[in-house]
Amino acid sequence: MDIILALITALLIITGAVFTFAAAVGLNRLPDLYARMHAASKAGTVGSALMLIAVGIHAADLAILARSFAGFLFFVLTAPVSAHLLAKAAHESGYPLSDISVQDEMRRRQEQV
Amino acid sequence: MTAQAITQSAVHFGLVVLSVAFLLTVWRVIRGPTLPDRVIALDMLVGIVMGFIALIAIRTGYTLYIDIAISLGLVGFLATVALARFILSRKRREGEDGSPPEPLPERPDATVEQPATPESIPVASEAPEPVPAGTATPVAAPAATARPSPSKSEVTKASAAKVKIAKAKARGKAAGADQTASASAAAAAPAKPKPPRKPAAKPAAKPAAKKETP
Amino acid sequence: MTTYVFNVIFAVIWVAITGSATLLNLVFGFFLASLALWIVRGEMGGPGYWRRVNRIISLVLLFLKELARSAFRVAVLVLSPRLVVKPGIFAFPLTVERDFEITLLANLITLTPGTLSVDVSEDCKTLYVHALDCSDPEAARRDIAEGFERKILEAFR
Repeated sequence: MDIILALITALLIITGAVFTFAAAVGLNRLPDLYARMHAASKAGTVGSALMLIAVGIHAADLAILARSFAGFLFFVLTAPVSAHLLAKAAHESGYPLSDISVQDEMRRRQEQV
Repeated sequence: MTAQAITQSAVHFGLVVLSVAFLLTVWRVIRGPTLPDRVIALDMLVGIVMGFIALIAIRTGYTLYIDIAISLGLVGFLATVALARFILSRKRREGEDGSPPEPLPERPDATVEQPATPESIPVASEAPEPVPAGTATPVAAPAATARPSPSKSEVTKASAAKVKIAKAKARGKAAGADQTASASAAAAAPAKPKPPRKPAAKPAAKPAAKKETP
Repeated sequence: MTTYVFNVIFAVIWVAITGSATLLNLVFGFFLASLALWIVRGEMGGPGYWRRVNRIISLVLLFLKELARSAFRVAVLVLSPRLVVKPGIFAFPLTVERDFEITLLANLITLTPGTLSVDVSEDCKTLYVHALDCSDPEAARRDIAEGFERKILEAFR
């Protein structure tokens, strides 16, 4: 039983670390800030959230598991909101998309207004 | 015991990978051409640090760390929201992302603002004034040597006058001479990085020198 | 909608009062709260509470599944040696109307593979979505409309 628990914890830790690493690499490789937001808000969030759950499972205590799940939910729910707000703020204050972008229908709307 | 060994090795692996991710993100914070890039990277740093805290919690067995991680996440979220509001209110600046800045209409403002400094300097104190005059002379001299001959004599004359003014002030002159000295020093100081403005600055320095010689 | 909020609030109050913050106690408090709300259902809201709970649970499961998928996709994309992205912003016409549903949809879109909601138009009719692969915006629009939006409408209407 202990072994299984440890294996699950180890799996969660490693997956989370790899996701976080992928997010950090994406932050450096992707062309513009909107694309970077994808990496940070998805892979990064999942990485940290998985590690929080790993703590709960490792402790094998319902109270701690509940708390780590609460942290997980909180983090997963707030990350998209902050990414969304940041993208909106950046777009409204005029940071352009990178040159390789295909289209920008939002820009078109702003020009009409 | 083996269970603990599995967990500990996983934690070690995770710590190493997270450290690399942390450094990569810090690199983005340092380099990130625009402000939103840096904000994203900082947001990401909060996430990575939460991962660190979780791993430390597993390693040491102090599950109280979870609460710290949750509150850090809360603070990070609020910080990101606040920074987003800031970005929204600040608007983008030209040339921030490394693109060549367009000729700005703010240039006249900068030239208008500079005359404000001579007034502010004498009010502040008298003691530091010889220092800018003294430092201005050696910097102005190489700039003069780099340039063709006609201006060279003028600049050296002006710098010599400034040294004289500084000496006179060290002896303890009247307040009127004090102000002209500081005005000439301050007018000459902003002139040295911009060669085109030098001729405009020197007439200001020369009358001061003439006034000083008798 | 307020019924659910009350339910969660009552559950949290139950946990706070009993003083043991375990998951089991929270679930128990949730059941107690829903029982209490069921007793006063005549005053509170419409029928079909439990039927909708099923759908909400399925929505949460879909959310978690999509989150895992999207994180995986982004990780694969980023770690692949050649970075092939065609980013762009496309407009998505909204069918859902209420603020809560729009918020939920925007969050879900952010957590789907390759898309990130950027802004909502003033009249709440259009959602602007940034996509990492914007070569076929029509397909992306159809995916969102038939996936999340339909689920949300099922769960909350």
